[in-house]
Amino acid sequence: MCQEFILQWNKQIDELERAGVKLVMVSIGSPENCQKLVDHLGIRDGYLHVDPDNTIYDALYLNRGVKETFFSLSTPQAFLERLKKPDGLKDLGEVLSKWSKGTDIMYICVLFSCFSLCKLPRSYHNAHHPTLAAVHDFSAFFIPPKQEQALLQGGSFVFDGAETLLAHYDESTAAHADLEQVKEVALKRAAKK
Amino acid sequence: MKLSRTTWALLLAALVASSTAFTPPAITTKSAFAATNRNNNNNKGRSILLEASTTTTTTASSAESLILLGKPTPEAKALDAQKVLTQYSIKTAQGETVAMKDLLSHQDVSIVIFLRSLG
Repeated sequence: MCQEFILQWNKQIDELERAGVKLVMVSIGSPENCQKLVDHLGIRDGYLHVDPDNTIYDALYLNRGVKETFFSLSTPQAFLERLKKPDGLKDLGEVLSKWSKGTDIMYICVLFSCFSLCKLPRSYHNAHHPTLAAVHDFSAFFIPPKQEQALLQGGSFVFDGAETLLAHYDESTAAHADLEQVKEVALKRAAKK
Repeated sequence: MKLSRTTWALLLAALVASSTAFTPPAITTKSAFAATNRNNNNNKGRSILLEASTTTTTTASSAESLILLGKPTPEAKALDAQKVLTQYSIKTAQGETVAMKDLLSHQDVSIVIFLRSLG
């Protein structure tokens, strides 16, 4: 899901730059994995960063927890919203197409939403889910370095200098801010300058 | 049928538990946010711009306006995200450390996205 969101923002870079809006994406993870993902998804250099020890996530009080990660109603609601939009799953399809040709997309969705499945041993996947076994080996699927980091949620912010214009604290997995709304706030403010 | 005191207590506990176990869904639309916020404006003095598209609905006299979405914790609501962010550093894909204050210009509009993982 996060790779899909990264890809969506990556596509906005030109428009944002033309308007004088700066984009910074930050993830949990190591710089090495960040570089691998940048290469794999074709993300523009200099936009994706990492906070390996989640110090900023802690400082901003971004949401976290087992319920937020696995059991929140807002996660299926976010999927539903996406399904209702025309081309709502287009970018997800694009991400998945980079994984494995011919892989059943819905099957991978299940994998994403049941994150814990990835932590099952390879032998389990071989026996029960051959498709997941292939994903298990895939180098661009990155599990956060520390176990507790898997329970962290993200957020989106728009700043104008020292002023915070928008702050979205993701309630749960996949419950991201609406990209168009975030962009609109930033572009409107940039246009006034 | 007459219920015992214990049964009433259990029923009451179950009612309280069920009401706290389910949190309302994330606010995803501006109108829903506006409606919720009208009833629950506890943003500690900061004005909240209720509608992103119309700049006329600011609720307080402060010059600063903030659109607060998703599900912020009380601690998150109380802090100044920009001020907090600029005190920290992140790493580039090449492993170099970059201070957020260098990335977020004092002059420009910036969007900062935090992702839950690279996965």
